[in-house]
Amino acid sequence: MWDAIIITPFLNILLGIYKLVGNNFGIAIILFTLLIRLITQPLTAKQIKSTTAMQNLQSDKRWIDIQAKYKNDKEKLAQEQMKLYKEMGVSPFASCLPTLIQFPIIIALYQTLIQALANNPLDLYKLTGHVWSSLFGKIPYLNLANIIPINHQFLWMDLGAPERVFIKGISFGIPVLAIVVVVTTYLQQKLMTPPKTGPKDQSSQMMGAMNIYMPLIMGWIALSLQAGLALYFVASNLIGILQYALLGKVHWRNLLPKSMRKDVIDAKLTNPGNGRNKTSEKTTKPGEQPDRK
Amino acid sequence: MKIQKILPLFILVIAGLLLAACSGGVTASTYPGLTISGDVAYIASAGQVRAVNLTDGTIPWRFPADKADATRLYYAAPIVAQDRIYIANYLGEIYALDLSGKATWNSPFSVSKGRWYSAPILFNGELYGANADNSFYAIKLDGTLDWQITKTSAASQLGASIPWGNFWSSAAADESTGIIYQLSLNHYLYAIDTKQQKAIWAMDVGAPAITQPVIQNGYMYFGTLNGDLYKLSTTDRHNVTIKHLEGQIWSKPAFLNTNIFIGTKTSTSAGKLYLLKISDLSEAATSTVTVSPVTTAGAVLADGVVFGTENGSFYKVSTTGEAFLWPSTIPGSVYTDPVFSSDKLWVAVYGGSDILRYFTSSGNLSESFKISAQ
Repeated sequence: MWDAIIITPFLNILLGIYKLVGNNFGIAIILFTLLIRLITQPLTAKQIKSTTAMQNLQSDKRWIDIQAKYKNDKEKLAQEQMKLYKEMGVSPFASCLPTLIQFPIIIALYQTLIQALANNPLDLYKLTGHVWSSLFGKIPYLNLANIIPINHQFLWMDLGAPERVFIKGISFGIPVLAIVVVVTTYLQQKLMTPPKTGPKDQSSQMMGAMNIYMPLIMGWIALSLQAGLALYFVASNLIGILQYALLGKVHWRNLLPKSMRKDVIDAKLTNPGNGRNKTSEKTTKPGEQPDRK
Repeated sequence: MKIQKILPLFILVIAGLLLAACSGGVTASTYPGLTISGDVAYIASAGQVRAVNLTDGTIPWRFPADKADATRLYYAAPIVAQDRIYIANYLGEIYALDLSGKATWNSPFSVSKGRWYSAPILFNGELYGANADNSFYAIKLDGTLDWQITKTSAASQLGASIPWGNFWSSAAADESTGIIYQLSLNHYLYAIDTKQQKAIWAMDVGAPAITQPVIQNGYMYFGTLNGDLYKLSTTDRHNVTIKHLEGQIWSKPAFLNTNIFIGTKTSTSAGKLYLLKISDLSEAATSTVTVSPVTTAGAVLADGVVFGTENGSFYKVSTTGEAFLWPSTIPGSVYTDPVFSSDKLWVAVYGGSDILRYFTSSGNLSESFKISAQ
């Protein structure tokens, strides 16, 4: 069922792109990632909106007040928080939901790549069973003989195996692509993390932890699995940053060292009209009504 | 550590594990390799090769002995030669074992760098085979490299316009001429002269080919994934007969009397069995549709040929072309060519709880003989 509805169509789209770009699997992965990102763009936009709403809520005076007032009564605190969520039309799970919906898509993408990379006879056998020779039984689509063997080579990499670069004089291979995955994942996380709204900002604390763990885990996966997957991670990270940038939600300031960041915030506070990032201005002013955009 | 810090780590670790599990990892498994010599079966599967005594089902040895090696994957059928067993792995190594399963002093032979998807062949006292590193190797039995054809040397021997590489199948040797034939996924058949130690010609067969060619009475036979069955004279390569069959050909043909027996995969849930005349490849009987794709070569019995299909069903095709579905089905999938020996049809199974079972010649699966997949 999962195979028929998700994996097989994904696989055939990926292979269709592969043919279209002249049997270049690396370019096909990048274009396929772009396509998937475009399709899931509404989910991404919704997630950004919900995250911003949560962020604003946590900088609201009433939120801060109830945190202080009921700090010793967890049950009451939860009740009051729920009341505030309702009142301000914010759902605490709204920012998680798009991520949860995207997760099966990501899993499907990985399975598609693994199947398309077919790096043993059984995988190849299964792949040949999934290739569409025609669309709706009428329009000629893929010719198996022109698809196999799939050209795994992209730049210096074999996309069907973990990537390593061997340099003369060094006894081990350097996992260049895994390092790029770590760097781009870190950058993406960092650029998408909204500024802290206060010392007790739970979501910021969580995001701070994510900023450390996420790149490491993605790097570990890239290190041990096929280079094709690592290429997908890199493409996905870079396209993600671009998507956020187009929506005006990239926090470039996060790349600055902490001390410099503080200077910028202070400067903005004293001269608020010059700030380009309105969210960060508002978040530095506790008590102000949250932006309900 | 605060919950805010633990929670993301926990979620990410779960996601990472899920991802690795769903993707199957880089070492996704394939079907086992099986060789039978006398009363012993040698099974190569994942990180271990084992010998199985076919008379009592005992396992005299495993290699490596203590536990499977996760980095060295063996799927190519072991090669048995007098007092040695040669096993090739996905690291490009070949181990020579003695009959008690101990590696010889000169193991492993590490002349190649890529995977041995299929076993090299033993011919004139040397091992010959094409590796996934896109080289064809002639390896002496002491483990040293005799000669090789790389992508670069193939270009100078065959011409730069002829592609070279993507070798997934075993070669076949013509004893009368000393020429070895190697098929590839890149649509080519290569002829390699062992005396001149070079590739002498290549032929475009129009589709990927993943089977081992069969040489019989001066002709070579092989199938492609486009469903073309080739018959090619070993003395005149321009003397070619092609018979197009429905579906993909994943196994080599079998021969009995004046006929060729071969099966195909027509879809993910069906296949076809053909009986063709050796003389001109015309159909000697009406083809039979099978309940699952035909995934193995036929095992030749005295009165017919038996084929395995993906879902574990077996068919026996008589010399007149009638196909009979055997009464028993093996739990698991079958992709490895079955071997008929001592009146029993031995089958290596993929994805079942047992890795080796046998059928009686009447098609009943023995319930007393089971070799666990573990």
